[in-house]
Amino acid sequence: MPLESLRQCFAGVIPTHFATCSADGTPNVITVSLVHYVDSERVAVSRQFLRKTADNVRANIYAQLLVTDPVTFDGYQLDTEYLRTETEGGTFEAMKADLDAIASQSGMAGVFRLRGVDLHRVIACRKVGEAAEARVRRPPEPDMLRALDEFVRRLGQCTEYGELTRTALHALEDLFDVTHSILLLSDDPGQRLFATASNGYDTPAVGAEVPFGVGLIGTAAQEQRSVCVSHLGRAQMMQTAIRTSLEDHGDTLPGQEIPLPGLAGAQSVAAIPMIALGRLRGVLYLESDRPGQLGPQSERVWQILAGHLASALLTLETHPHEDNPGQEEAARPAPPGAVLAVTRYQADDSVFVGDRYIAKGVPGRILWKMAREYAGGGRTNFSNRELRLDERIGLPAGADNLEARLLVLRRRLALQDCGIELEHTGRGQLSFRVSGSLELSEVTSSAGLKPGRPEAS
Amino acid sequence: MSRTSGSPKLGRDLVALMLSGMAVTVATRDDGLRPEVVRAWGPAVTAGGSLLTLCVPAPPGSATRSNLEANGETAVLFVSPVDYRALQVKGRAVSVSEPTPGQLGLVEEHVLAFAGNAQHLGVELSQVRNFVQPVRHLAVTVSVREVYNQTPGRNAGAAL
Repeated sequence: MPLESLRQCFAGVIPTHFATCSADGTPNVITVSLVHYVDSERVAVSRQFLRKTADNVRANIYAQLLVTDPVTFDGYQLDTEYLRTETEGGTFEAMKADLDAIASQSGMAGVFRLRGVDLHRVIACRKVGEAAEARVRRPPEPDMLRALDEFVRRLGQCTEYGELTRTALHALEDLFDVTHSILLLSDDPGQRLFATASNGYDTPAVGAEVPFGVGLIGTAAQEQRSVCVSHLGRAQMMQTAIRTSLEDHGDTLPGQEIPLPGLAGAQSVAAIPMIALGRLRGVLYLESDRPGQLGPQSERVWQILAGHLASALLTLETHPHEDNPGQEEAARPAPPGAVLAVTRYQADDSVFVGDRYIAKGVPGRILWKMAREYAGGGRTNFSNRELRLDERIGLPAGADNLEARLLVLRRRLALQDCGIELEHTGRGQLSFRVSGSLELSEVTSSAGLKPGRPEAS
Repeated sequence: MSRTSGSPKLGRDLVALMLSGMAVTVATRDDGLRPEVVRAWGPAVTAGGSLLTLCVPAPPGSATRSNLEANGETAVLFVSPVDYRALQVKGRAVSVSEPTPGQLGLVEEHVLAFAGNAQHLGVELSQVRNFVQPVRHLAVTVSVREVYNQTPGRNAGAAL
């Protein structure tokens, strides 16, 4: 039986059991947190708490893994021979990224380091027992190549940034049955990710921020490596067991569990870095309430999708086609309606309309510019070109992510239903619409921040 | 649980945990020190905590059956699907026989209890039944020699 055909068993949905035997003939059996398919002849086992197992395989290279298919629940025994322990290299780094991401998500970053990964050669592989008639059969795999082709075709039809993000996330649902997804883009210094689009959630994630290196998403960004956890419930349960064990012994832990931005009760997740022209552009984050749906077996597909999406976004970002702006508009009186209080907090450029937080940073500065010019002279039409040239907005030269930031601002305004809308009226053209008049005020840096701003999630 | 007075006994708390619907696997080994691991069902503790009996899939010609008959060295791992608490019992098989109706009843009780514990992970009873190999099982009684904590964390592997 080829080892390749059992890759789904290494997704970690059902724990793997690992049996070894000491030199004096005493068997030992444990569960292992991570088994990694290396190639058609080798697997790697994470070494975290496995002192006895480590001693055994050094003294006696023979071992056996009992793995389970997460769909059919069929078991398979893999007879193995220990080869060596690696503490660096591609296999080690891949397994370390997975474990670090899960640990970070559980507030356990830095508590345990991966000591090494044990490489084993698989010398025999067989199904356990006989298949019963009533056993569940593995459903046919969807035609991924056809779905990928359609995904690329749909994205190729998009000419506008918001349309592209919306089309991509909807296509993930239509073509790949990924019902929950978030698109996060990187800020310029590469310190934070901000959500620009989401699909499938009761509360859209747009505007949420994730620092690099924190949680599954932040780890995927920092390491520029895909993190696919097909057994999130089980992985978090194991982390909780470790946390409880440590707390029972009075150890101090670095933090609390960090809530994911999306689906409550997600069972499998994938955070895929979006890389184009050698740079991280963002992270495509996928969630499912079905264990195993987003495991390592489909990782290559998500990487192709994310890479293509990154290139398409970059193309629209760096080659914007701007329609000719309309004639300069005459100052117009404010329409009848309520007076909208717009407040800017200088400390972080956050802008509120009434008590509703809208945006901060670059999107906040863009909103403040438009609000001032609207309040001062009734101006409503703006272009991407002038936003890029306005030094007060502070966009970096080159890839400035302006389209992504405008998209966040447009969607945040729409979500908050605050009486201000920003509409896309043509390529590179925006219309600032207000249902009332604006009353502007600024709070200086020394006065601090308004309570209620969203912190990074 | 103390190891200070001869053969260790499984205390009341440990027994309650072991019988609470945990996942159970049994490892044996052949004379060439090659291990074999299978799922086991229907644990029972007798003789004041010094004997552990399980039903183990071991059809004629299987490695597990050969190992039990040849040397009897056994390791039994219990893992809770609820909170990952785990323990390992090591010892030697002192009895291998056809399971009694009562022991087969314990297998069914164990399947139901395990399925109840694993429900929160999205695992259904029909799937748990797939874990039980449709092959001949043997009732194996192990004389308890060592007991270890296997809950993930700093104390994993510590003697109980």
